[in-house]
Amino acid sequence: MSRRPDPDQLVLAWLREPARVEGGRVLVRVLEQLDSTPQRGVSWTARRTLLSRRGVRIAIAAAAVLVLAIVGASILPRIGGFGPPEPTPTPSPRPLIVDFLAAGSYTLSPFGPPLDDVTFTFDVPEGWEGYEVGLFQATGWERPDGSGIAFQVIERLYSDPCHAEGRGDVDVGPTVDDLVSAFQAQDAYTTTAPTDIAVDGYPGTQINLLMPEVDLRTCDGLNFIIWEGGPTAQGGNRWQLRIIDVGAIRPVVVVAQDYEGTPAVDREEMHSIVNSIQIDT
Amino acid sequence: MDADLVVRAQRGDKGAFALMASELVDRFLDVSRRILRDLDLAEDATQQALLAIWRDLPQLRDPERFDAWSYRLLVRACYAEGRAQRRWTPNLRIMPALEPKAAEDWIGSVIDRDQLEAGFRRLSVDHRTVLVLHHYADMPLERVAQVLGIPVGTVYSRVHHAMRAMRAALEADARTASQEAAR
Repeated sequence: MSRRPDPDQLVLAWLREPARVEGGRVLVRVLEQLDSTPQRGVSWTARRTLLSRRGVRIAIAAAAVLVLAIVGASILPRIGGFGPPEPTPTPSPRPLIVDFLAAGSYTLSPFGPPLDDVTFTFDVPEGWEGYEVGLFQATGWERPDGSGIAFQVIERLYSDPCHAEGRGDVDVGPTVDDLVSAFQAQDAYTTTAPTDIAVDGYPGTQINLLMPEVDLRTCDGLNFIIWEGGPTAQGGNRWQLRIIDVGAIRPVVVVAQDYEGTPAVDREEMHSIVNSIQIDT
Repeated sequence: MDADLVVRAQRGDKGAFALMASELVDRFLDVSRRILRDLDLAEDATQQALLAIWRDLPQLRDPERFDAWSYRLLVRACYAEGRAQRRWTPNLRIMPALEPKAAEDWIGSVIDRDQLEAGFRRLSVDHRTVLVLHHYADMPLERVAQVLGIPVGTVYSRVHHAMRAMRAALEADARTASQEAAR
């Protein structure tokens, strides 16, 4: 009788056994679905919100004043020979990447001018994937069990999210209350009563949206889009919107989205990320 | 993958994508079947991965990174199928035996094969994935880390843990067999 090989050799040989696979059937199914699978130029998290030119000019002027104030504040104590002691260096958060994320602390400046100074810092557990303006569970954000977070600025809503081509037809004012009122005036989805919140000390309002069951095949571009430049929702999608006044020309919005079928552990991770958010402006 | 083909598919050329998909499908099906240990689930994962590649291709910034990126989509599809597997199909069908290599007679042992199969199924999808990518797809640990977006140290520890679990599965069987022989 032959001697039993080393267990590691057995495992490796088993793992490396050749196999005959025939993917022709899968290939046919994939090619059959190409026509009904539009390519995504931008993902639900990938759109950057552009603000109006007037807003840009106002913000540039405000930013110039802010820069002068910061420079002055940093120089004056040195001239006087006093000031707070240098802080002890701590590990710097990494910039969010469009990729799988290692567990750790990340920063993201998701907006174009004039809100490009707004930076979010948050802690991410293992198993998440980054996008340009947010992150989601690496297993996906889609129904029936995905989850994700996006950072947004909202200027205009669509009254008919199923036909959301071109500009949004509902202008939104520049305050937190304006945005909350605009959402409450819509009937394409369900909204909850707003509640006062604070995120990293910044005041805000939370309002939740529950998306209706909708056959996206009946919608323009297979999309159900709530606001201009915003993500596509899916039926049963639950969006928690934290609308935060950071003292800029518009509030920023942290969108945490999941589904009834999202595993509790994924939901807890999503909330832990949101609860860890720090905002620099 | 031919970068020109990738760029053409990024611009919506379905013929170019069909060529890419025909190159990828057997390899994807092979890898996903090894991770998921179920042909139907593997076919679904492969189909989802290929459609995700088509859908998200315009977002791939660097066509030279296609291989790592496409594997990442495949692994993500396997995770999704693995999750569905846990939830909906606790009693998996046994995968048909793969063709044994003549030089590996011991693997032909039904007991060993069953123990290896059972041990592998007890691993998480995370651990199965690193074993398959590293030991079957022959990816160096650094490349596995790149594909999965995790530190190399994490890949190493997962491989180590997974191999230890597989060894334990075999050794438990060996102990049982020797105890029965002693009776």
